[in-house]
Amino acid sequence: MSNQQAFLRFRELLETRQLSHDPDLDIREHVLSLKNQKAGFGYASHGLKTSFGANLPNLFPNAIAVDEAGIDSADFYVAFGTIFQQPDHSHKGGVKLFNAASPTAEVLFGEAGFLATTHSWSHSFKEHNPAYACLGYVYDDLAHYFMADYPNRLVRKLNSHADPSPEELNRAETLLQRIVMQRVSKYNAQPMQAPAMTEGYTRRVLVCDQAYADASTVYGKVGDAEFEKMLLAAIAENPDAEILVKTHPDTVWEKDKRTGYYTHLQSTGRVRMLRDPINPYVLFDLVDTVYVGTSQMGLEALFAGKKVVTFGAPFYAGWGLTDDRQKIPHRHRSRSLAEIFHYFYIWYTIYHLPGKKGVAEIEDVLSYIETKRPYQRPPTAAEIAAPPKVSVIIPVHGVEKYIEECINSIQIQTLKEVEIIPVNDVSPDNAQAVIDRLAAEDPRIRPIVLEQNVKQGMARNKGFEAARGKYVWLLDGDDWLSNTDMLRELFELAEADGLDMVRARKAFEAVFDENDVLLQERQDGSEKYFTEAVRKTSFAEAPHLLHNRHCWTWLYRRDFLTQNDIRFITPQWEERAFLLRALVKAKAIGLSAMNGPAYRIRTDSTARRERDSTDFEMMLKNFDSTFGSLAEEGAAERGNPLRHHLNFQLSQFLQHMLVAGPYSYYREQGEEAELAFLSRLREQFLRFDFQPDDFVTDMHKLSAMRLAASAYPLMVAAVVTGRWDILRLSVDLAPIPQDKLYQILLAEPTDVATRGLQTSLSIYARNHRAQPVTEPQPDSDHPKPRVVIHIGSTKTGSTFLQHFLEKNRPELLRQGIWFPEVGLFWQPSRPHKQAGHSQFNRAALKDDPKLRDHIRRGLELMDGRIHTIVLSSEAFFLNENSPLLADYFAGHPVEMVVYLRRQDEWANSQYCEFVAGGAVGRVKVPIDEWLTLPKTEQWLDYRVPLTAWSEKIGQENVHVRVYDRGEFVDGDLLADFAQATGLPQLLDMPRPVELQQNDARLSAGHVELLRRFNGRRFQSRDSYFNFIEEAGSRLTEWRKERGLPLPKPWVLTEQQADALMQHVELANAAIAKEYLGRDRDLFGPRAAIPEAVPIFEEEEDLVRKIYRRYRRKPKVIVEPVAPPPKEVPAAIERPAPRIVNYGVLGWRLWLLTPILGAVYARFATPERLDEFKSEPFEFSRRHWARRRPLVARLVYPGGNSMGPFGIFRLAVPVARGLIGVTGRPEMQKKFDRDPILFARNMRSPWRRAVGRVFFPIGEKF
Amino acid sequence: MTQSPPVTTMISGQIDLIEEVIASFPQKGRILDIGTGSGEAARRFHEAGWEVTATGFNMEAYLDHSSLPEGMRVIPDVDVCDAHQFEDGEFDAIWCAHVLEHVSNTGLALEELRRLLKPNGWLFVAVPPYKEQVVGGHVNSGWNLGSLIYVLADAGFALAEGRFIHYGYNIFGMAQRGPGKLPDGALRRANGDIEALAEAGRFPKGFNPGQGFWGRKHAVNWRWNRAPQQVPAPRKELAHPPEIAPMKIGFFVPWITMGKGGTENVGQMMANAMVARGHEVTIFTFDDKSAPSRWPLDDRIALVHLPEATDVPADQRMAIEVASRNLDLLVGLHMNRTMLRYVRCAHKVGLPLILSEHIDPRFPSWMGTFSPDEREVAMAGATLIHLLLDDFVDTLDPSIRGKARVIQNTVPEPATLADHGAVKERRTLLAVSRLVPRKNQAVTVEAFARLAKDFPDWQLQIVGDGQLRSRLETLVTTLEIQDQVQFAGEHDDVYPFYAAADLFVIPSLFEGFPLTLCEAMAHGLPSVGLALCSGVREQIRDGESGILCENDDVATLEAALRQLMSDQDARARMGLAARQTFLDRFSNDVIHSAWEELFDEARHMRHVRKAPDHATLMAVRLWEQVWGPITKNNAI
Repeated sequence: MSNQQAFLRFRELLETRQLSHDPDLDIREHVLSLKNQKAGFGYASHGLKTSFGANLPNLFPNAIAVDEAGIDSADFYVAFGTIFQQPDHSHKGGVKLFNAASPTAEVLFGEAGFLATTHSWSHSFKEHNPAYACLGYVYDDLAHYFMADYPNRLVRKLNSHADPSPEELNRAETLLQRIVMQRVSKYNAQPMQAPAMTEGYTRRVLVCDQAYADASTVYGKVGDAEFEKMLLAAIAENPDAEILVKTHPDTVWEKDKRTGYYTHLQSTGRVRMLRDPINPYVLFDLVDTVYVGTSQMGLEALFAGKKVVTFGAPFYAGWGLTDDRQKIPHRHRSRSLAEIFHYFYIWYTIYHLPGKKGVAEIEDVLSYIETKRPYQRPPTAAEIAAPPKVSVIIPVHGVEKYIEECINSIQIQTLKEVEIIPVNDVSPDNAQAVIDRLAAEDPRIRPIVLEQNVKQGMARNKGFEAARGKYVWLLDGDDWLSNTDMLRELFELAEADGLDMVRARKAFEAVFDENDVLLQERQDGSEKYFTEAVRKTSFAEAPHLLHNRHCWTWLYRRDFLTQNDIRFITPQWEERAFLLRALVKAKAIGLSAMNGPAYRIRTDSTARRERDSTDFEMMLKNFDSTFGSLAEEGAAERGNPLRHHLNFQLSQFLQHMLVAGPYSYYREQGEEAELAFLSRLREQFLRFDFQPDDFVTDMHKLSAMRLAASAYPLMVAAVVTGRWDILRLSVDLAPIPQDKLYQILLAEPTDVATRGLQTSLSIYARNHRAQPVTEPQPDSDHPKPRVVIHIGSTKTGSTFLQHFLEKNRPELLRQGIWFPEVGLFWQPSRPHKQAGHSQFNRAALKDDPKLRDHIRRGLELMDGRIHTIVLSSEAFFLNENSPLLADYFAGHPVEMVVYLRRQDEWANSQYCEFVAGGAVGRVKVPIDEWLTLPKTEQWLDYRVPLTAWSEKIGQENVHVRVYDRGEFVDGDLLADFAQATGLPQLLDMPRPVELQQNDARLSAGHVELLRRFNGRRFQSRDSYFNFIEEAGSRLTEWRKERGLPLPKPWVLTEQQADALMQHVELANAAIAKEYLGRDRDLFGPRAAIPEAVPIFEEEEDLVRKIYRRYRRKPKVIVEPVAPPPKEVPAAIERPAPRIVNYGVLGWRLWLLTPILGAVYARFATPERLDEFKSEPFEFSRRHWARRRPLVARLVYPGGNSMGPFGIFRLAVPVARGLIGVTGRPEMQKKFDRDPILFARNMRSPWRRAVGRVFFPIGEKF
Repeated sequence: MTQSPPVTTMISGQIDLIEEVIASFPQKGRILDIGTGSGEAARRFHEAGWEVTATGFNMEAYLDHSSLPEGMRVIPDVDVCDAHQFEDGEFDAIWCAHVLEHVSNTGLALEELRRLLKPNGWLFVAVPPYKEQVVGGHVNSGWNLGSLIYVLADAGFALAEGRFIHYGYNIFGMAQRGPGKLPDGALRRANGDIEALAEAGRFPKGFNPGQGFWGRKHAVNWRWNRAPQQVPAPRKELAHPPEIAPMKIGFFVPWITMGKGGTENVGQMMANAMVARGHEVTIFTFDDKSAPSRWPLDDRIALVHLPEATDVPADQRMAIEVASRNLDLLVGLHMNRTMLRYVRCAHKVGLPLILSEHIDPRFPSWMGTFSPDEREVAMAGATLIHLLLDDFVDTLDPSIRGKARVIQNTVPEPATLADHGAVKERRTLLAVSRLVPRKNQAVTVEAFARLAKDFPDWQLQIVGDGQLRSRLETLVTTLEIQDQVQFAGEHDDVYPFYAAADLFVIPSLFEGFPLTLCEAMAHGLPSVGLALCSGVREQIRDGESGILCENDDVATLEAALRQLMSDQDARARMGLAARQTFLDRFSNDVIHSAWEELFDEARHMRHVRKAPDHATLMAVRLWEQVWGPITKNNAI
């Protein structure tokens, strides 16, 4: 990139634009007219995506960054900054832009506007947080606004006869007042605390420094001399005043990179240097006159009503408002402040806001800054005196280190009418001193000091008694509010809708190590339920509120709490009862989608202790009260809208009591204590008639293994029936002995509870959880039962039939029909995707006796009660070897039942299943290709399996049924199946609910969409299934929300379908004749074909986003089936290299890490494993330090890479000397910065080896 | 119809000059306002009771906004070269402001004006100062003060009682009708004319110009009888100066916390004296250790320690410190390039600066501490320059000599004077000096050696120390006069030595203003010194208060000493005269007042930050491109 070329282009542009331009162009309208064109911006792509320019694409949807493809063919360009002859001073993006820009396209000068960001450009670029991005830019086709010698559109506008309308002036005046009152500056990451002033001065003046040789000073005609003159003039002209010199905040934010004109000066005499960032308006309060070079502070000082003296030629000078010490060129009119404001801030600046397309209004930008800036203005006297709108109650115990941050986060809330009530619950530290210090400065803090330690629940109650606010908010002393605008917004929501409670989201959990170093910020999983705002609802209407875990995410109306006697009833484990009572009693509940409190997780060991019966008693009491609150509202009644809520609480109760801790505690205490504990549980369950089906599984923090094993409903059943033996099994996830299983299942149920126990046990005790107890017996005397093998086919309601049989297993057994509990397959994360007894197929193929032995033992244990065994699996249809099952069950009479479906419909359905249904053998080829696969062709000829089976078991035992409602017995599949299998008993049994049917949900377009992803890499088979599952449900949801139709898929063309049917015509005719004795066609006419629907781009985006979470991340080698969606790889931030101590010669890295990796690989996700392998030390600190601090320290102790006592420092001078021999001082400098890093980075391996000798510890990252 | 182009009606400084004339001539009379212009002069003279005749061309254009008072005699279209409307000797005075520049034949006009005046009548004349721009109507592009004086004298006016000033946009003067031109042939329109006029006494009293005299003067013999309003005048230009108002004075006194040299001594005297006279004093010194002053300072004096460094940040710090003390003026004492720092500081802060030089200016140049070019720049940057001797004024470029003010030093008043009448066993010839070559004390020793035998009751007492002491002691031994020579060494208080002495000898070759000699005079001691030393010559009046030796050899000194050592009466007489000289010229009161006047004058001079004009700047830059750094020597 040539700086010189860019410089020339830049200068030429400036000159030629002055000479040739449309004098009547309105720059604002002009820029807005360009918004949909391809706009090339002088920012790198990260600047345009995540940093300072991240809002630009909201206005210019076709924005192209300077380092992106296509930059050379944009329709117009916006160049930021200036190009100087010295490359170091040039704007880097600008250089690139002027090199790349098409020579004929228009280039505009762009700069950050006068209300730039909630933070600063520096914060924005450093933190890559789009929330800090620039909120408004100015654009000019003639020159930058700060170029005094090049009159731009702004100057021309102000020189012209144009005048704002009275309305515009009114608006400007209002905004001016607001800006001054709210202290909004260009950058707003500056504290609002005024520094203490030197005594003895009646007045002060302010002298503003600026960034050295910044373009605005160069083009604003100020340099070293002017800045020195300015300071001396300020001193001389104000003999009675203290001279405050404010350095530019950049000199602090960009330390070492940016300096100012006054940076080197020291405070002396009347001159006082203010180096810390501070809000300009706070400074203006202290002074009457402001001296500036070209700083925008001069303009803001005018807003604040100060006298302003300019030494440069800033854009706001020369209009009669400032005392200008040099002649300001090109100014021909006097203008009022409101006029200046109107043209600068409203006309010239074009605003935009994060997450909002198009142009934003300045009022909204101000609101955004006012609420999102990191510092807030202090309360005014009136706000302090006003009755508090919100009381924030903070129990304080052992939080000395955190209480200030906690209280500060309330003090800086935009809602100023608050009272802060820290309740010191006999804190063992000096927290009260901190509170007292803060309270001395802020009368809104009203501390309470308790005499006895009552714990947080009761301490909060004390706070309630003292509170005067209309609303109360609960906050813990080590947490804080992450959002300065939270209380205001919640207050207004509550007021607007008369809410009793309104919620903010828990922002994040911040995990700190023992030294209060932040390890990570993570989301609370249960917050996923609260992403959407709901204006006004109730607990009954919004059952997802049950997922709310904390009492401190809510603003409560204080009256509401008092009137309903809502308070904490236990000192600890207090939240649930309080919160549930509030939720139950609240008539109007609001949910906001904004982030609120941040939760601190401390890893210091002292914070944790063993729980004992006192804790469990308190928990019990709270649950009891919770149930009581619900029951008061009739929740115990079935059919009551709160019944589900009660079930949820009971389910949590079960989880907390049986799985989480108390149960194991009481089990250790001996049988008596255990039984006493369990009977209290049982009492609660019986009180509310809690049944296995009532158990709510959609709940955070349930044990995934127990959930997968369906252990929870069994626990419910076991407790209710008092089967403590079964309870222990289910809690421990232990298998149940086969004999016991049949004993329970075969017993005739006397009541609902027993029936529940049987059902839940039969679901629990499948495959390996049904444990053999005896050696296989030789075949007994009993006649061998008939084996009915239902082979599907696929897409003919098999899943429905299997679910039906599963659910009714106990009843079937008692009827002599055994649907075996073994040999089953289902996808672990998607239990509805079951493939029936597919494992029997494998066993038969390999002649593995295990399953057969199980069957034999079962038959033996059930002692002749079984007359029919039903096996069902579509896999038997797809797998050509399935007739071997007949051999596997040699000696048994074997019958086969199959449902056949029109081949075109079957092919359509099967293809969609393979592509978009989450099939094990996923298909990534298009339908036409798939149809021609030999395997498919074989499947399509139904004669193949029928013949094979007929040959094995005789044609008379092969029952062929047509899958067509019209042909079913009574038009019902089950009835038809009962007839085909000769099992009329089935008809008396309950059927599974709808959701367990395995239906295609997506349209043809969606199938095609998903197909394109099937060729990509996924982390694992399960993550592929999860991807399919999530994509399916999210797409369905997306369509449902928009009221868009989602017809069943039809992927075949009519020709394809016709051709297909023609192809199998003969085969079908043969089957019809041979198996059904029909002369007419096997199948009826094709059902109506569903219409195709177009797929929206957003749907594609949605799937792409979901894929991103499940894809295999590192080393992505894309092997696209279809062209991949446009995707720019996210810029990877390379952290600065550094050295970590892995011990002498790094053995913990190259020896220990692979070993640990091998172990860890078994249960870690691939990306976790990669994370571990790439930086094991960091990983250990990030993920293990909290739960297993000892392990982390033992495995990777870390510590000084210079060795114990820094012994290897001795090598530093020697090595330095050696480097000195090379005669390259810059090498020595590098070495001085980090000797070990230097040693590891040397190019020659020989030198690296020498470096290793000098510094044997420490590995490079 | 053509619109008349605008004309200039308001001239800066005019009103003050009119009022000054009115105040200076209370007797009033008939006055001709030739070229009435705005009518300002005519109106004011009229109101003051003068009988005014107003004249002019194109009068309507000038009298746009105000008309002349009723009853005033107005005669339009009077040609100054041919004012035939008026009789000879008709007027007591003529006001002729900004007319002569419009006249191509100046001599003819002045001739005609003389004709209209009564014999002792006064001409009050104002012309614009010369400038490069050409102005419509100005056919004579202007004057400086010297040229106006010369032209008036040449035209035959009498300037002896006249006075002149460059004030505002006026080169103004008042002269009497005078006897007329020198006779034919006396002037040759060439070199020598100025001297001829001077000889004829045609120039202002006390003003004796010669060929090529510097004409761009501020004033000659000017005193304001009425303090001017438009541009503040320095106090010394006021006939009735007011009390000097309290000032805030900042002194730069280097090393006042470190040493006891002469400059520091003068600095502390100035500071203490000014505090005593009610002014506020701050002393800036350079001392990283912030030590207290080695000299006693009045408690009211603020002492500010600046960094010893001389780099840019130190300069900035200096400026900030100075600026933040709200001073009225700065006084910088020194003799090396630190003076340039004072100048930079004063210019940055915008304060008037007096540079006070306490040494023979050649010395720092020889020592390499201050080149003449650097000195010239520094002096050019000063508001006023304080020098010790008239001789030193000539070391300045003529362009800045007008800023030089000569004030000698003073010494503390002694408690006890030398007693010439006392009967003493031993008479003392006293020498007080550092023992360095330039003090020339070897000559004293040798001369005294020749006298020792003849004056056995005399001893030579040498107070002071230095590198030559051992060699002088050897010399004394060699000359075998050790019994009569006493090396008293260095003393903080030397006054007792003067009080006990009879005669003072100072054979120095170079001195600025030797304080030891002044001290000797304060004590009433007669002194012997060398005439070639300007500092000595300034103080000793040969034959009155001592003897100035024409030659610097031993014999001449011996002779002079012999003369006084042998004559007690002469010593007593000369001692008395020396004491009187001290009281008249060098006493604390005299010198302190002079300082105070100097400071006040500078305080009232507006500080002008003026950059060189572009052409000059380019000339310098070009020269330097060609020949390297420009110096006084290599410039044309």
